[in-house]
Amino acid sequence: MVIWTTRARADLKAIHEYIAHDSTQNAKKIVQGITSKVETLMIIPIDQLSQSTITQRVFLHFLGIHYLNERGIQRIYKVIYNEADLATRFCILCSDNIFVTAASYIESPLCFRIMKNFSMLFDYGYISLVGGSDNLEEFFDNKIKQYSVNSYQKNSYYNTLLSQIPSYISKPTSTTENIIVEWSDILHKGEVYKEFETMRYRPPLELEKRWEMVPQILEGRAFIVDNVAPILFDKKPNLHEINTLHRLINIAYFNSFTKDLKSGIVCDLISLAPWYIIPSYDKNISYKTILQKAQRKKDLIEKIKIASSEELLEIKATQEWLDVLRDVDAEAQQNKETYLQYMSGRFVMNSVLNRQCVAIFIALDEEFRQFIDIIRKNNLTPKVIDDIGGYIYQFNISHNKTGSNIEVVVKLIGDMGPEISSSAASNLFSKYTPTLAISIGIAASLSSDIKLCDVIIATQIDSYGSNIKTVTRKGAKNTFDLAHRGTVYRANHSLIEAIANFEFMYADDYNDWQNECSLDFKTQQQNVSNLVDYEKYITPDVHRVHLASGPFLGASTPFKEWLQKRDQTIKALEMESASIASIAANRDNPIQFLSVRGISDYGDESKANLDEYSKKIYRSIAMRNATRYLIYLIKCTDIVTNE
Amino acid sequence: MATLNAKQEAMDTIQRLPDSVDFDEIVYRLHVLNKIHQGLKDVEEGRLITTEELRCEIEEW
Repeated sequence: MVIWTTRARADLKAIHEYIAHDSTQNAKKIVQGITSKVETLMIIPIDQLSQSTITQRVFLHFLGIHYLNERGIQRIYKVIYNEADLATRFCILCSDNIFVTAASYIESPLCFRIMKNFSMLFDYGYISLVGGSDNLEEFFDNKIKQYSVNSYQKNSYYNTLLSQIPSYISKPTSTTENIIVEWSDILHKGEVYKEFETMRYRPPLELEKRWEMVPQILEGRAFIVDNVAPILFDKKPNLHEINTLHRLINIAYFNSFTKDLKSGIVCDLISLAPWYIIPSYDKNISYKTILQKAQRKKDLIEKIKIASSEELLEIKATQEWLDVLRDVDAEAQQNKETYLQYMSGRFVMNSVLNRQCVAIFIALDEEFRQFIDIIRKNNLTPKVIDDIGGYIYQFNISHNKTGSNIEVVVKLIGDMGPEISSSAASNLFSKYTPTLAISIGIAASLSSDIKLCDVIIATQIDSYGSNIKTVTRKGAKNTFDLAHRGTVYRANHSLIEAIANFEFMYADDYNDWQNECSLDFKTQQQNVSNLVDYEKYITPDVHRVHLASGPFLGASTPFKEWLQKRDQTIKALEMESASIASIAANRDNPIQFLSVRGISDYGDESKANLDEYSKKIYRSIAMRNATRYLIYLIKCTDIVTNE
Repeated sequence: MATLNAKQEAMDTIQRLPDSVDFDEIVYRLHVLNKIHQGLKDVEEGRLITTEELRCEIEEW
């Protein structure tokens, strides 16, 4: 927590007053900017200010199996592998005693693969495995008991038993016991709630009681987040809860190793960087500083990346490498300010590399109102970001399976129609590069198969309004027709496939979605008197269809027919998707695009009547159903995580 | 940190600066040092507010 002195407050107020002479708005902005910058102090590991080059002993915490999983290893395997491999090479070049947990070596394919690159060094004792038992055999026996029969981990133990293994060091204290000590410590200091509490999050009341019971309930099972979270929380824990647990357990876990080994760690990693401080007991190796300094030497990094174990030892003895170490040392001696600056740079890098971002576009206020309502009902709290020219709303959705953090940014366009939505899209894309852009809203159904309140996914978007041509009608000099030429945007095949399989692969979630929607419908319709014939709309379905998108608001039957002349399979109509799809597609690096719409009317003469007697309930339910569906898609399927 | 007296600490600070340093920089360093000390004293004497409180206050400025 960051605390302000009253003196600092007075200074801040003076700044505010000074600027407020010219503009109170600017004054507020700047003052708020300062306070939020100050809050980054919380994530800067000040303990790691003193760092140097030659480290006696270094613990490769970043190869810890749970740590790797938590960093989202499946997602960006190659990036993480390359970074972990290079960091290990730096350790060999900077230290003579490198430690890896035995568990990780055996359980994590990535750790194993990296260690194999240096198997020649095993015999020299450069690299050692560390585990809790007296010897390796016993370590296997104990570990196997911790995991359920036939689990992946268990099988991998037997497989690695047969291959070449580095020397084994018995850890003097039990890691699990150390974690339990720190776990209980938090309880005794009365800090359980404090660890979890934020401005927006209040931990459940019974948390402390459950906290106390965790070691007992675990009964020798591994003290990891996957096992602990179900004891603490009834529901599936949210991202904040999971992250807090990771932080607390990882710090205790790593501390147990670095303390026993009296070792340092690798700090300033990029994709693999933690957002908390890992305690260390020798000088740390700064990945980023070494990388920076070594890059100044021609080809050195390239040489290091492909060097064999022997070649690494040769490089270690060269004058060139000693020069690098000297530069790194000089950097480490430099003052705190530079260090802090570059630390904050690191966090920017980190967030850029790890980001999985979805950009959502919503045309109308009435749609946005329903959208935000559903988002809030899902316990997601959007925050407003106003520094990219216009407002966007941002929140995170945690993926059900990988637990990874998906950033969602939402742009309210504020009006219907293609021009305004395309300028909103290009504006947002110039500041954010999402992995997926989504247009969500309501649409008209052009087919009797698709009923009100259903949700459609556009497999193809037909931009009927682009390149339109007028032709004089045959035999009627004074009348013209519009000839179609339009552009077609097809949704990515794997995206559509993932969505098509959602209903079957995640049947429970799909049912939950339908149930939530019907329940919501029943609640909403109580507000509308005389709503007739609504029963058939209560449970929504999902259709994958071709969607017509263009400048005309559809409320006429001949217009519907005109559209279907071009493509029989066009089953829905709206006004925004095509223009956003075109911005997303026409880039150097095209962005995947998806249109998710709820059906609010039939795009014909009945529209006005329908809106009136239903008090627009179908419009809001359509949007609510579509929003709920989208959240499920993001949470369950790999539409965002898939690259 | 508190073991040094003000004079010693100021001299130490100047001592650590490079030979080429100019007066502005020296004065600035001492100013920062002074601010840090004032801040530490405020902390000791409990003249503090949390960021959250501060944020609420700012709303009213």
